[in-house]
Amino acid sequence: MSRKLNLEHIAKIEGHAKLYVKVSGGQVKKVEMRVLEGARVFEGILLEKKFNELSHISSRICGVCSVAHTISAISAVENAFNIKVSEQTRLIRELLTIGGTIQSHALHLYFLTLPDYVGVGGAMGLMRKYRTILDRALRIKRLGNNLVFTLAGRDVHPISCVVGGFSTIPAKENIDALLSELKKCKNDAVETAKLFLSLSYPEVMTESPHFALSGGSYFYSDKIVRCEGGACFSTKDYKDHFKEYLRPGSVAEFVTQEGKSYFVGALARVANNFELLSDESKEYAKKVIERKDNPFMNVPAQAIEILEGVNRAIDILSSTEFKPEAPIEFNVMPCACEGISAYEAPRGILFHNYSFDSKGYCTAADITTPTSQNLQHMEATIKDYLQSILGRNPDEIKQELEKLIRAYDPCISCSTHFLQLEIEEE
Amino acid sequence: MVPAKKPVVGFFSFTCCEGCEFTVLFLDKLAELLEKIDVKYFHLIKEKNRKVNFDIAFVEGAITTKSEREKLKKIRAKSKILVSFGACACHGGIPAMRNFIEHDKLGKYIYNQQMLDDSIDAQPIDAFVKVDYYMYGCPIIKSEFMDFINTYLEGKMLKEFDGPVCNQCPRRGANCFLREKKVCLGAMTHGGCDAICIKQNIPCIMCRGPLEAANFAAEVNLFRSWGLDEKEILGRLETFGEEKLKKTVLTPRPTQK
Repeated sequence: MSRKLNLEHIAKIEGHAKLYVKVSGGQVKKVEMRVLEGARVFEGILLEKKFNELSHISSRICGVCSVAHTISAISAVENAFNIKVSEQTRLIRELLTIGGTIQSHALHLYFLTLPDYVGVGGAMGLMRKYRTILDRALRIKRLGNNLVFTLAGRDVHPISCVVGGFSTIPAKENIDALLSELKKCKNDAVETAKLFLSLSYPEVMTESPHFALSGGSYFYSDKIVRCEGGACFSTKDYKDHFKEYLRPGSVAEFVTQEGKSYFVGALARVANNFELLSDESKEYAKKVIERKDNPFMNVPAQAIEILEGVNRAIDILSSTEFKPEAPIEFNVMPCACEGISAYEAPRGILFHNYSFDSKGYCTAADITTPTSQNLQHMEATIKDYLQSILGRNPDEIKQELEKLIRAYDPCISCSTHFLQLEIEEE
Repeated sequence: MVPAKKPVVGFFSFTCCEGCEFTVLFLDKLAELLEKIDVKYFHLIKEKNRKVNFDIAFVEGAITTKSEREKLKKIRAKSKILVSFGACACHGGIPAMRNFIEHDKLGKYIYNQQMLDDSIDAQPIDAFVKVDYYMYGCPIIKSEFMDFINTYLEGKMLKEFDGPVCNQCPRRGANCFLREKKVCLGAMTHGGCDAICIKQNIPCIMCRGPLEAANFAAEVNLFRSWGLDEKEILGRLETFGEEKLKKTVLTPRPTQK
């Protein structure tokens, strides 16, 4: 007997996928995420493009992760051509990262996740029943947008972030306005951490390594891939450890570490870089770390990162005087080289890897997204969780699996268009 | 004439980064907007989405498969006003860059045979349906979107901005990027963005798409006269201007229908 639950668009995840489940004799035998979409073939369209065009194109991989893809593309180019950026550039990129992370986490937590836990159908339902909470969500979202807008000129697809630095440096009055908005939002960030720690999450356990970048600040590290409790390796060697593979029936890439699943994202960052958090965030993070093998903890971990982002941004902005830097004149000397960047995107580690010819045209492009790294882990957890709820009615099963999938915050927008849940019973 | 009740609105997404839908979600006055309009379809913020009859349908993304094409036609049939929402819908945008990859090589990048079979050249939505308003940009501009809604609520249609990016450019004249031999595509691009990139010292990359009235050939010749090679010129133009420019200055190749 084959039963099909058609979830046309798993509502409220960014992008769409199909989940195939096989059940036999009351046992879940197989779980497969299949990602289907009219592919945009990014790794193909980047070829033959000049090095200073790549970030404009890569940015369009995802509207909500555009900061992450912009900085990643630029960093890979800089690494290829051995361009060293100023300390100020690194600080502004860190602030931009915080802005991008707040934008993304605020949307995911309040618009996509919270409605599941309070029983309303999306942000629209939140508006009708929980207006105070929605207003808080909107203030935090605006803060993230304003950080990105002030520092990079636009809140989706940043403009002024270029190879070698920034084409403009924000004026002092704009920085002061940001600082005052951050301070005003501090309490909202604390309330966010408390709210998402107070929700009741199902008990699910998947013991898989958590990977996060290390060797810099909490939000902006790019040197070392660190495994909590395990080995570290240099980001430039990532392909020796993380292997991409394709599956028939899916346009997405899957990534494994020595054939096994692993986890990246807010929860992995909190677990790996606990020591880098502010004392205030640490207090909240402890509760998450106690249950770090439960992927649902990725949800409160994101909330804690909003608080940490606000704290860190206040620190940077109140102790730094931004000076005008000579505008970037694109006087880069290209070479026939390869560049790899690693970056903590809101959803986890993101790798961009480009090769160039001597004139600076891209000859090979390889992008490894956090979602493709988490897919295998997601399947393993779905399998366990589904087994424990198999006796419930189909609607409930569907709802619970959606909650679990959303906890990973998958951004399948880079590759998809339908989502169906197909349960085949023998 | 003010419409008697809230307009029924849908936001639909085809092949794209969803950045235009996010731009709506990133509006400062999102809550106020949601009180003015009756959103019946918006998968990012609603669990139950209904395909009813729409007063306004905002459609983002390029059409890249036969099944998307059929869905688009259904949306058109149910909508009084259809807005082409952002660069991908208006001109094919970034997804249309793949039209430059030969179809038999696409399989290298589209791993799923079923998807490959369903795949067609990435097209703007007006290749298949009538469009009532073009909201350009990658992504769309928040103020234009709000103006569109507010004008509609007054019973009128917003007029599209007429002219190139240069019309709002602070560097117009002596400080023009072109005088510094920097590749700025503003003169060939739909204006209305308030020249935000140029204000950030970044030459225009044509994210609002090619302007029909522009003299593409003259500008391309100017770039050539600076010694830019064809590959760089092509690369810059095809990023956002592919479908239109293929017919004029770029070398065409056979299309796959």
